[in-house]
Amino acid sequence: MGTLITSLHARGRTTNWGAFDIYLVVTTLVLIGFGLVTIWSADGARPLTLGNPAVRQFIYAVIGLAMMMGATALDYRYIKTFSWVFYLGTLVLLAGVLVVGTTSGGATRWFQFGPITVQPSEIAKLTVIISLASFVADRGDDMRRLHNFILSGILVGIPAGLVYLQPDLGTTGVFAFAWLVMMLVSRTRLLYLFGVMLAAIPGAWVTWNYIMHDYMRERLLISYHPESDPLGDGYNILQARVAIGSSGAIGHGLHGSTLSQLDLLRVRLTDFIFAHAMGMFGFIGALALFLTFAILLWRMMQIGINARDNFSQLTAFGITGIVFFQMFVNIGMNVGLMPVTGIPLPFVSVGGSSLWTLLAAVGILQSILIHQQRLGFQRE
Amino acid sequence: MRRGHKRMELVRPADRRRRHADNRPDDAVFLTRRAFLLKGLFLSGFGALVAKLFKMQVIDAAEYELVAAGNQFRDEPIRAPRGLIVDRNGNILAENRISWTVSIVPALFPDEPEEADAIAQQLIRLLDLRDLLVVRRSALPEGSEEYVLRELAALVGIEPARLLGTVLRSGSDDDLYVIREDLAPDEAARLREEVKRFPGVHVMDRVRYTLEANPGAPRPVLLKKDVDREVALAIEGNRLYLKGVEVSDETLVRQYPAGPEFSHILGYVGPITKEEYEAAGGPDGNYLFDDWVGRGGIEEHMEDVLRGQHGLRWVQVDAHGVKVNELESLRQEPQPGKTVVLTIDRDFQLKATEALREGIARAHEAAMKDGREPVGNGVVIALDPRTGAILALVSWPTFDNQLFVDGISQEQYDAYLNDPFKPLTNFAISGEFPPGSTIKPLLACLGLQAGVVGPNDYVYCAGQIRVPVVGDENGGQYYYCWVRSGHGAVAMEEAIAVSCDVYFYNVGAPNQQAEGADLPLHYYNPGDPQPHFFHGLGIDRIYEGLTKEFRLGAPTGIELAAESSGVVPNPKWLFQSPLREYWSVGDTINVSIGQGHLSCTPLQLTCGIAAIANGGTYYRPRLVEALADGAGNIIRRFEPEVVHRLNVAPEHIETVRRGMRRTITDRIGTAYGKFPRTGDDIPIAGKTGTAEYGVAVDGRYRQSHAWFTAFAPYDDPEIVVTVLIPAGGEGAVVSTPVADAVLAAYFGKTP
Repeated sequence: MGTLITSLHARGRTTNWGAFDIYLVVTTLVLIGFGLVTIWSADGARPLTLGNPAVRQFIYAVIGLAMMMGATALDYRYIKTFSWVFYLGTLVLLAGVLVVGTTSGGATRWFQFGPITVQPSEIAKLTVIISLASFVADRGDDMRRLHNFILSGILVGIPAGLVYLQPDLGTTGVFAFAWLVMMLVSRTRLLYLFGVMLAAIPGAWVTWNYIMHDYMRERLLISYHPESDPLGDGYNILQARVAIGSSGAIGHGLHGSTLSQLDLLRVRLTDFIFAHAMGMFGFIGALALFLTFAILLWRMMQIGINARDNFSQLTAFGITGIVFFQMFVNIGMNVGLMPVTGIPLPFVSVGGSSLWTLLAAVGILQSILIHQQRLGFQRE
Repeated sequence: MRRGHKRMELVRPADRRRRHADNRPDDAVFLTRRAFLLKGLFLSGFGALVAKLFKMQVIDAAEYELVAAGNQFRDEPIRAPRGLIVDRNGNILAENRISWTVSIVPALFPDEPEEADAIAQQLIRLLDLRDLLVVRRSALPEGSEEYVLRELAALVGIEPARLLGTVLRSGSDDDLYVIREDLAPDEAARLREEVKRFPGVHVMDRVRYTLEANPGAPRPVLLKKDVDREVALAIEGNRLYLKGVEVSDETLVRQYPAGPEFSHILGYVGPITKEEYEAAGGPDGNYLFDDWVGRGGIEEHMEDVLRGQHGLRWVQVDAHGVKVNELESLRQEPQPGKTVVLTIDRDFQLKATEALREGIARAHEAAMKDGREPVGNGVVIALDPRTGAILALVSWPTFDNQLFVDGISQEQYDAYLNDPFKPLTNFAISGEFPPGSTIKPLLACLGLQAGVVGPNDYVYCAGQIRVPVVGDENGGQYYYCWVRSGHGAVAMEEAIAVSCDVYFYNVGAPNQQAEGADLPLHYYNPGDPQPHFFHGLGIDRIYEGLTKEFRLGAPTGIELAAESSGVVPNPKWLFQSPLREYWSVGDTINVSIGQGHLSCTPLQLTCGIAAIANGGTYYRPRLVEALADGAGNIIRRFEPEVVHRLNVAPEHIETVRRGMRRTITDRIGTAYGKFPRTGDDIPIAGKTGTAEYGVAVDGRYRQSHAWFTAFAPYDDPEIVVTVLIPAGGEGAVVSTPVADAVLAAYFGKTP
């Protein structure tokens, strides 16, 4: 009859576990394993008691993997249905952390529940992507209209602004990058994106001169001249570079670099975990790590390309985007290409919030694979 | 077939705006294309990281390993040598001398008291270090800081207010404040006893002070600069014992080999202040914290060119703090400063200075004989009217700029400050003087161009005029010519040559009628009932002409700081000045002969005369001819800058030039016969000036500034010379011999 029939709801539809992507799981597990070994080594290779951060990270990983499987089993369309709940909840958490959050290192980023700290901005990375994907998917081709494009920016801009106030410049950047990537694959006009790029030039100037805090400017600049303050802010940067450079092609093995100064690397489990990993595995290790990330990102992007509906496409590209962005910025700041902004290395850095969020994201991607209709349209 | 579909939607082909966009056939194409962009971005990201890691871990790995091996690394500046300053012939006016500097690195200095003390004593002996008197602000007893500081001020002979102000309210946040440096041993011993009763006040040796002022600093801190080679070698030879002590190699110290005659032109260099260092960007800026910056003169004006760009090297030091290696790949070479080539001629400047000093000495002798004020100042400016290039710029007395580099003593500095002749002031550009009759050529140009006088219009000078005031036709104010017997009938050329004041009253005073007056503005010659009506320029046109055509009243733009503007008065200025007076015709008459409220710098006048000499082009006066690289190759030459072309007809300028020539050649000219050395061979044109100041007695002033300004050769001038001896007496008597000697030096005549 030539009429296009679209299927919208999947109730009663079979779940196709055969579509489950084993590459995605394997690369994720490799990265987590890599992280566990590095954390254990960076902490001084101490016995595996409950106080050992590697053990704690292992427990987080186990819980996280369970969450991943849970997300996989859940039909992603439910997530879409409740995306506005996630969004409002995220705003409440981000606003709440500014009020009652725990301050550390000059930034208010954490909720403290006894021994457990939760970083809402990590969770927000995923919820904002889901909300944006839902918003954009609902508008479909209407995204070509400017007001929808602007609304999508506001949708991301509010949580990004709250994160900026913490202040957390890095995570603000993650939101911005996710938005750009998702706009790229939405049906909006590329013209708008070019406009944003053009506006970004004077925008960056205004931000730099009028909006940014002095501490932010200093931190951004010190990354490029760590020598100017070798005992202050520049210390970590210099030590990280020395650790990386001196590890050479093959590294120094499981105990890492013999560099005694590295013991003083204050954030070697989080921001600078890559530097320690290089001390262990050297340039070869870096190549292996990049290969793993490349496979992971490739699989994620394939899910987006082959997805049957806009929401899935957008979600998958958004998640791909933030994983790449965080990896690039984190390693970039370790080697001195990027300013230091406190972004964790995905799946590797210490931290439950980040790991759980990422594993939940992987679960959602798997859910897209196994729950989407194999044939999106059929003739009747 | 509606199997499993909860809801369906019929989509007409024309309806492109579906609410829900499920995958369409073109989706895959669209997404693949957009994903291609992302893949490109991702791949370049990976590529950049791999490339950077390859550079660090494979190419530069060896150097990083050295760092990691436990050796300490330090970055050290490689100081860029400051650019030279040379004269137009390449003679060196400012250069750099190699010297050695001894520093200590507080972080490497031994902690163990006995060892530290032994090293300190050794350094004090070798370097002849003197003690300091310091206040530790935090240790001053709370509430009685002021008492302690007042007592202390009395003890060391400092004004209490000054000490209080600097110690308690200084913007610096350093805890230790130095009150006195370089204490003589006996004074140190005396003070050491005396200050025991003041908590927070100490006499410290230099080593201890340096350590306490920079606790644990990982960088070298200056202990003594300009150390003898032998001492430097002795310390270097003992470096295993002298832990934490460093001898720098090749520190460069500014040197001014041509002598203090060039101080006003060159300025000097001094240590950068904390505020300047911060203002220049601190550690990220172009300066080192112990850097030098130009102060005054060319050193300041050409700072950016002379300074160069410091380099950087990473050095490896062993456990003893001894340098063992340098990381060549991280070395940044310094960029030496550029050489500044001046328009000045060194030998000519020296000869001009000598001639001026003789002239001042003669004027002083005469002044003492007459019971006038002592004479000690003088200015000579020589510039090329074809380009504005300054050949000599002398302001006497001068100061020794080398003292400011090497560290001037308080006594010497106070002596400069308290000297009545102000050796620190460059009067050639900063002194404001009434120009007297030397303004007449400028006003002549304005008068001729405005048509208020013709070149052949005669004015009868009877030696004085009486200008009646409204309501009193038989009274009023008398104005005199400098020749009381009068010049008789004079036209423009003679008027300039003989410097007739009455003629120029006529050029200046306007044709106007005051309110309530029967007649327009006029004057009477003595014994003559006939009124003579003024028809001169009036103050507004004088103001316009002097400021617009001859650029008086504003800095000339020479490459020196602290240039004065001088004053070209007009009614508005007078009313807004502290005097708050209304303008009167007497003010205009005074300005007509370069007196009254009119003042200018010697350089401004010289530039105006140069514009007349060259036929009407006003050049910006210049000191910098070119920039050169270290090898002396010219990299940039500065062209003459035409600021303005005089709006005066060439024939009028020619008339004025002839008048200035006749000043020298006419038997009645004011400078006739004053050029025994040069006058016979070289056609000189000039103008004398005797600018009176102070208090008049019977219409005669006892004090006057002696001016003379000249150009030569008359037909095609290549030099303008201005001589001013403030308080010197008559220009024709006092300043002309100096000009004669300067011109003789320029044209290669021997006395």
